[in-house]
Amino acid sequence: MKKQTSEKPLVEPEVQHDGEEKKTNIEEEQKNQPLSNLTTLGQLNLPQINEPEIHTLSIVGQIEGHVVLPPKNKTTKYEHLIPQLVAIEENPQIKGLLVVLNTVGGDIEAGLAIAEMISSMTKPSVSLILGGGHSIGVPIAVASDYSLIAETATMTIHPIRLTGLVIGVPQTYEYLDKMQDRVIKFVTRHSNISEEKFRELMFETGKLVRDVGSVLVGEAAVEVGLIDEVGGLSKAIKKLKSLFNPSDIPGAGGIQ
Amino acid sequence: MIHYSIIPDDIVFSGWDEMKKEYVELQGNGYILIVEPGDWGEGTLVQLISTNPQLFLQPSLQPGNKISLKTGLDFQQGN
Repeated sequence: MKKQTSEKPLVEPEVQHDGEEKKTNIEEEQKNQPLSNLTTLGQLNLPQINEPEIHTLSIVGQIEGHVVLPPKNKTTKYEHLIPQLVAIEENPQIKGLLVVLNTVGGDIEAGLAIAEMISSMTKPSVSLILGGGHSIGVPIAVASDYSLIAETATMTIHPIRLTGLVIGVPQTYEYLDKMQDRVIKFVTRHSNISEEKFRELMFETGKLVRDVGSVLVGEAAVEVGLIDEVGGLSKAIKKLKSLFNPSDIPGAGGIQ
Repeated sequence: MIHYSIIPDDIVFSGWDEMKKEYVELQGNGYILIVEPGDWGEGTLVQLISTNPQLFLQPSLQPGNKISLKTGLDFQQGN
């Protein structure tokens, strides 16, 4: 349906409620873009933002997966993150990815999906744990090329829990073990911690109030080999830049 | 679904039964917006569906943004 030039609305509506295609003339649209900007934003020309070199992905709250959580939770929607990671991977202007974590965990499959995506990117990535990187936040933190933890940040390592109707047969335990193995294997593959040490931390009693497991604060996470370094934002950005511009930092040497 | 978190389940899932969501689908230029309608002709963007990954980097199309239900305004240029 072609629009008539004499009766063109100031702003071209892009929305159709019954799904029929509206063909807009591209030239007319471009001519009216400054006018449309003026009506909506009060400016004729929007500043052209060049794609930044470093993109930041913040993973906060609960990682929402297959189920929408009640609104009082702050969530990270993984279905939005995954295409963003694809876009970052294929956009030639973006050079690196900074992942900022402050999460209490969430859906195990969504978390592992994000972790696998980050670890399989060719663009360099650095993760920074601020506040907390608990439960499924641990695999996401170690998935990047280099990981940093703030001095006061914590990571809780605990076994996965099954709630609801549980059938009391050995197969239930085997299933739980298998699910747990997914997390353990990913973490040990992408960090310097050994499987025995990770399991030891996971099944430690007496450390957590309502659960089995342990809490690692800042430096402790580096000592066990889980995280690479204690640091903050400036260290993270510097490391990320050194990963995609190795010649810029003199004496950068090899990557640990 | 295995919920792997330090927050206990009863706190995370409280309010589960009171969730009533009616979503509206808005068609954009090469994408679909799932919007939760609110008051005064505005809605909150819940999900963006598109095969173009670059759209997911647009700040105006992030979940949680307010979308006008009448026009589905977005600030992309040249798309």
